[in-house]
Amino acid sequence: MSRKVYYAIIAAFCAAIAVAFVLYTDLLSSTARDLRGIILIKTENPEYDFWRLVSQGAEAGAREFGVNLEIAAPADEDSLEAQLALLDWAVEQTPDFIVLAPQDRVQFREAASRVRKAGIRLILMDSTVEAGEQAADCFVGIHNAEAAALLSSEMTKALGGRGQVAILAHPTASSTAHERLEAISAALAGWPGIELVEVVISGDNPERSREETLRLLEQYPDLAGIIATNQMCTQGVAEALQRHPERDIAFYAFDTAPSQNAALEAGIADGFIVQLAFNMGYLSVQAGWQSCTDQLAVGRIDSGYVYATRENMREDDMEKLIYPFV
Amino acid sequence: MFVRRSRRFSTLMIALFSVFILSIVLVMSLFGYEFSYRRLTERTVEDNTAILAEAADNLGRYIVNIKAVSALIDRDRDIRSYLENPDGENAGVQRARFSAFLNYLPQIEPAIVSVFIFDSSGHVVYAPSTLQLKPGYDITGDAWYEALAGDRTSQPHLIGTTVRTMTRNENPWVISVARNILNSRTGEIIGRQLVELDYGVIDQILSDISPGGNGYVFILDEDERMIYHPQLQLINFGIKHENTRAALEAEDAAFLEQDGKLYNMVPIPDTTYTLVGVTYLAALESLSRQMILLYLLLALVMGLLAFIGSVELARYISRPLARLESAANAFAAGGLDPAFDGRGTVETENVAAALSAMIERITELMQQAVRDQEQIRVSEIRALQAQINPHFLYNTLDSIVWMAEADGSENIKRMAVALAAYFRTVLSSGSDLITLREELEHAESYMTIQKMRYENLDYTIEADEEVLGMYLPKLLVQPLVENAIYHGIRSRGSGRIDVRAGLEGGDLVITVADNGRGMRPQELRDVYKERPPVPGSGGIGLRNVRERMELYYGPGRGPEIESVFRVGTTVRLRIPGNGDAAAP
Repeated sequence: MSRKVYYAIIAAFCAAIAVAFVLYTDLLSSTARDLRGIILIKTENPEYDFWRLVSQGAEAGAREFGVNLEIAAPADEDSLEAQLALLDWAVEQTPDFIVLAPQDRVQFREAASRVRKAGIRLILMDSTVEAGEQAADCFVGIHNAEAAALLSSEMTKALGGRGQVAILAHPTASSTAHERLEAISAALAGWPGIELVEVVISGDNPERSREETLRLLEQYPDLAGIIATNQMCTQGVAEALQRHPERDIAFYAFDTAPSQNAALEAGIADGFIVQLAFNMGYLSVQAGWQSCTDQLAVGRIDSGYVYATRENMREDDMEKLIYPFV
Repeated sequence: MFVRRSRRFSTLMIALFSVFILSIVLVMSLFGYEFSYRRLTERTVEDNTAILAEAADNLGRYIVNIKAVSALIDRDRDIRSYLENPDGENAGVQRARFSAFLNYLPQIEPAIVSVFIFDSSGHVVYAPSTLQLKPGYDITGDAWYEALAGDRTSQPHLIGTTVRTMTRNENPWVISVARNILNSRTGEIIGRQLVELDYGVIDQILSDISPGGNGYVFILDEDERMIYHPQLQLINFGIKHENTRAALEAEDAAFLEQDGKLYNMVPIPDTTYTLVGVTYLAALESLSRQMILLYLLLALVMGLLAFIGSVELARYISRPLARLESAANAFAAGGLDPAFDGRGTVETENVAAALSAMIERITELMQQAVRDQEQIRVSEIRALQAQINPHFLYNTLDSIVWMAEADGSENIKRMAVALAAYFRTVLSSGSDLITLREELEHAESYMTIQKMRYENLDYTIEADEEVLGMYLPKLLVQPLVENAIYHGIRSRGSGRIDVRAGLEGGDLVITVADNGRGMRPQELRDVYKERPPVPGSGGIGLRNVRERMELYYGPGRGPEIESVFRVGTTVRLRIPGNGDAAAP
């Protein structure tokens, strides 16, 4: 055996050993290390069941996928500055991924690109930013336009296709409000008998929604229908309608809390789009984990919703959805 | 590579040894891996089963407790009497008593969230004071009520996870035990009781159980319905699936799903429920991948060591063989060094010693043969010398001289004197070197004798005075003179030979020139060729002169011959003046 062959074989062995060693240490470090994720939701308001369920789902996902998860939120859903500051803070923590439910579809566009420039995977949840498909690795949420169209058509059917209606919406800076409003307006425009008398942006404030609803009831004696676009608006409208049992208003809404199920039961409300908030939280953490482990196959994940009415609310599965275990 | 050819011993050794050790390492690694992986899986199943069995026992105990509480309520006489006769005179007292008792229950068993008593028409008789029932709520649509619908006994019914919707604002998830309350005499249904167990308590117990580090547990009833699951929403909405059918139908305590989930089933005592533990084998697989890599790493390191070891071993064995080989090659090529490097193992050293002994023996034999040859030659010369006894020859020649003088035969006397002088030089023993004077005298003696035979032979011998004392090997000149007579002059009948000696550039130059036949160029070329000795000649010849000159003075120092056919031949001897043989 020539020396050349001898050293070539030894070199081959050493190379193989080095490769195996690198793979081994790689495997050790990858199993030893949990992914770090930060989920930045819209509010930490404990009254807000939707976000509490999102957090619970996210925690369940974190447990399952071995993610070291931190949940951050501003005090309420319309404190844009606070949420932007929190996002900056989150980027400074250099986690593996950030799940963001942006309050503002414009203001967060630049911030979202900063996150990704920092090498952090970004999952948008519930709401998106403009050009959201490119801005993030994935979007997790419901198909807002489709749900809004369903709600609108249910209401117009109930009204027999005619009457005055109003919308109470949360700030349209949020993509959810924006998409829902657009879809509702578009759907209602298809009914010549339906007159959209007012779109009230009531903020994320049940009191203001209540007051605005009372004002609407007074201002439009023939008002026949109201659509509310999120839980806080829904709560205010339900409270206002309870005070006026004499008014027969077709009330349809997005998002619910157990307190509003009574309104459905009592016939004050007629139909709710119930988002599966727990699923949304779980799926966003799953998407973050998949993105970091290169298993993410899609850019959009539907977290799902159900349509609850007085008729189906006593069904076993629906009961568990509209009275979630929290 | 597979062409059959003879290989080096070391290559074979390395190949065989490497393959041998490598396969041992590989086989051992595979067995080791297989064994530890199986052991790990078995351990996981065992551990899970133990954990689950304990959890199932705890859950069973909870449910038994609830059923016991339910039985306690069932036996309460106040409740029964009140329901039998709600308008009786003691009804108020009875109601106060059982209310106090029922209010107290959740303090005994914290898992109990609430107790409800309804009369036969569905009106609430007792509810916890903190709860407000919704007015106009229809309890007949509730799951627990439906479970009791066909039953006319007072058997307890366990109802899986439901939401209590009959109360205002508080709508917890509960697992409940419901039973009919019967009239102790008539056996007719006089009321219904509902004891609710907090789903949150179950969740607290079960969500902390995490088989294999990141697994979870869930509970199934006999109809594959989920009683508990940490992600019930995901299950209900079809985002997650559990193989509930397989879990209920499995014969073993554990089975492995295709997606790497390990299901462990343990029945919950005193219920129809099954507790199922799910372990992600991905963790195990990652561990097993680590093991594979670790084993591979070890195998590679051992393979490397085996390779180096086998190369070293092969070298250790084959190096002495290579030395033997080169020694044998050198021997074959004619080298005869018996002291070659024969270090190595005992076997090779033995072979080397044998080879060395053989070389020594052969060398000895060859030297013996040379010595024998010399011995033979010396003996032959001695025998020859013995035949010619110089003293006898000289005495005889002296006698001839005296007799010739007495008879006045001058020619005979001259010839005998010349012959005696001739033989004195030829037979003189001792040094091979003689002076030029002696050599020329010898040549003259020879020519004197020959002149007697060939009357027409003329000769001259001239020598410068200063060269006469120089030394030269004896019998160089006489053979040249003899050649000149026999080849140059004899055939012509007359001729002349001139011998001349002088200095030329410090060298002694002797020329022997004749005017005889001369040689053709062809003959001149072949002058040194071996040929049968000329009959009658002394026979030493030109060849002998050249050999001895070259022996003394080096190659190329032989006689220089010039010859022209029919003109004559001149032979020149050049003896280096300060040559090695110049002085004795």
